[in-house]
Amino acid sequence: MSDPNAPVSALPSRRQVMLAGGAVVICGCTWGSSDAPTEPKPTEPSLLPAQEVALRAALLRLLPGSEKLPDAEEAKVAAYVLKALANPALPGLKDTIAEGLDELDKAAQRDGQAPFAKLTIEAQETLLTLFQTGDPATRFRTAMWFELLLTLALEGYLGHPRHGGNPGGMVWKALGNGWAP
Amino acid sequence: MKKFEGEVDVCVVGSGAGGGAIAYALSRAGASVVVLEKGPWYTRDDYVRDEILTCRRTFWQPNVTDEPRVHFYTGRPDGVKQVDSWGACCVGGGTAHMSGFVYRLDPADFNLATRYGGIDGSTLADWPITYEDLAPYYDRVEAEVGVSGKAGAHPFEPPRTGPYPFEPLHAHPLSALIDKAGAELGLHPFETPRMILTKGVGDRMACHYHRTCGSYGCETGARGSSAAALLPPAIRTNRCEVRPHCMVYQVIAKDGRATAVRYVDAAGKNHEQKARVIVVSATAIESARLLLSSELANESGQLGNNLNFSTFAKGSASFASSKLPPEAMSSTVPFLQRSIRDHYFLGTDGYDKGGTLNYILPHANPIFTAERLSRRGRPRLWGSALLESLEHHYRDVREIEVEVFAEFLPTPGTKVQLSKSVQDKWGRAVAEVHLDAHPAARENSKTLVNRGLAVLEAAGGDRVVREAWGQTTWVLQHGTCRFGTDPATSVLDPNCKVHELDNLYVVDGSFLPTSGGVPTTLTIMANALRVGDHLAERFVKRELK
Repeated sequence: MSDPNAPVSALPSRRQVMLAGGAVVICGCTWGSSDAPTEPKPTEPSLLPAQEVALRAALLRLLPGSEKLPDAEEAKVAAYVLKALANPALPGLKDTIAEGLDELDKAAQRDGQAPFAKLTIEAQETLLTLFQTGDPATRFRTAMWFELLLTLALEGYLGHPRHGGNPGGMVWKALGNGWAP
Repeated sequence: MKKFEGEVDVCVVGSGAGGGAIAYALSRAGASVVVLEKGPWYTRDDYVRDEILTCRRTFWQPNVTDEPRVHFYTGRPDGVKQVDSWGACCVGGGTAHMSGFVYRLDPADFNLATRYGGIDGSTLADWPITYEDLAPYYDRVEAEVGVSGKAGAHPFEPPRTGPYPFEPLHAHPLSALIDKAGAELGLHPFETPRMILTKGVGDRMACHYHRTCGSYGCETGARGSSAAALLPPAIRTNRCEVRPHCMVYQVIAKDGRATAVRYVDAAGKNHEQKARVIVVSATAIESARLLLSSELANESGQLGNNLNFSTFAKGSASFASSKLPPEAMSSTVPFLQRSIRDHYFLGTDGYDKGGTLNYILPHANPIFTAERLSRRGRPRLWGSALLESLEHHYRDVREIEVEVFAEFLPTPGTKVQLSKSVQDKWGRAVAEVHLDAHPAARENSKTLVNRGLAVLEAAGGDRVVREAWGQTTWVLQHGTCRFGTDPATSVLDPNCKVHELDNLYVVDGSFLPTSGGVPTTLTIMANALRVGDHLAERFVKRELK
């Protein structure tokens, strides 16, 4: 049964990414008239090296590719995510993602005695599934973090190439969905 | 575009369906008009098919930290800061990204309170005008903004005097499934009327059938947004100025007359615009907020009450490629273009108001598609399972969705108030939106979508699923300045003038006592033209100083 109180837009394809009760705000690139939104200058740095390693490993599990489809590395999803995290118009996003990656590495050390990126694929999937449903061993909201990461991953994988992922529209072409840059 | 200084004949607050239509009507009638719009003025070049930019960030809506609304849901004491109910903040308002489904109301929609004799828990009221009062203006909007469709196609069509001015849009081959299954069930599918040109007019081109329509701006001007169809001819009169980035925060009145509005521009500078007539058209929620904060138009105590929406329900079905003709798999036509209105009244015991079934193709946005497929898993799909689902979706099946536009009974608990604790970036109280949907309206939306799904089952759908019912379509918002004949129970008179003020009007969806069983854009535009004629007559009679 549907939730009677759940808000629904008549434009379900339109969705602001929600983060911890607030909207993640990204202004788009400029092309066209002066009234189009402009993209703020990115700030540095985005993630610590260990966090970026964990990020890339997690993205590969979320988007492992197939015979037909590129994986997250080939589709440069991490480039999109890192760009988003460095965007000053996204206050709080980088900290949340970074904290979740730290928690992921901690959980990997706890369960597998190695950083997340060094676990087997099966162990990585098990840990991400635990995070998706909520890891009771931490007070960090792993389920919310997982949702956010998956959202960013899909944006990088299937979004317009001008945002940093899906170079040349390679994922669109592989899917044959008729989209083009 | 002509720039005005000093007092003008008419100041319009908001540039959407109502504001654009009345600016169009009055500037062409000879009045000087200034339109103040809080959002930007996008050109057609700004409308790019970039899902992240356009559909998932702040292209249309403000940032929730800058301009939230606080939504309160039944049984939940804590409000939630949201922006869903903003629609689109730009020149053109919600018409800039609408899908343009433009059905007329039914004559029976104008007297539902009489029909049902009152409903417990609802503040249902009859309209003070009839379908016949509005019909000539439906004709005008269809002709002057441009509506494509096929008249006389089903027995539940509201009265009309002639054909649609534009031929129907091309329909995806899957529409044949709805035609066949509907006929087998004794129903009457028809071609959905759309506010989209099928033939170019002036600088507006015919639809080019891009794979996405709603949620995006229209680069060709085929869609009849206020920004494409109403404001350009208004500006060409040299009697209409549109000012973007101008947020009106107060209407000023003295001695029974509105005299001016105060607004802040993009640079944060405050201004006052004087006018002989003030027309507020900022959407039902925002118009109520503006008038409440101006401490005007509320002698009845009804301002902000009777908020109503379109009740939303939805389902879908998939069809395996093996069951479909090759053209159904290969077609790139984005529109299914079929509706059913046989269940506008459900024929059940008691309150039986239903609405319209609208059959569409799922939105083609790739990220949205992946998220939709992901949510079909419990928990959400990701990894190989999601990628397999994506490949299957594009390669092996086609889907049809049925969405419902159902009546939303107004209730005492569904209303707009000013927040006492939350302010926007300018330090002004934001709107609280209280939602307490009536159980009968919710239930009827379920019945309606179930009947819609029966057609998809009869059409041979493999996976027929009811996905939602009893929900709220935020962008179709109405009722906060209900019109009526009694100043004790309504905010506006039948001409949409505030009862207690001589020259303050409201022409967005606020006037609507009920939403009908259709999207209300066409009705809002038609009513604004009606009010425009009324005001033009008052100007001619020199009633407005």
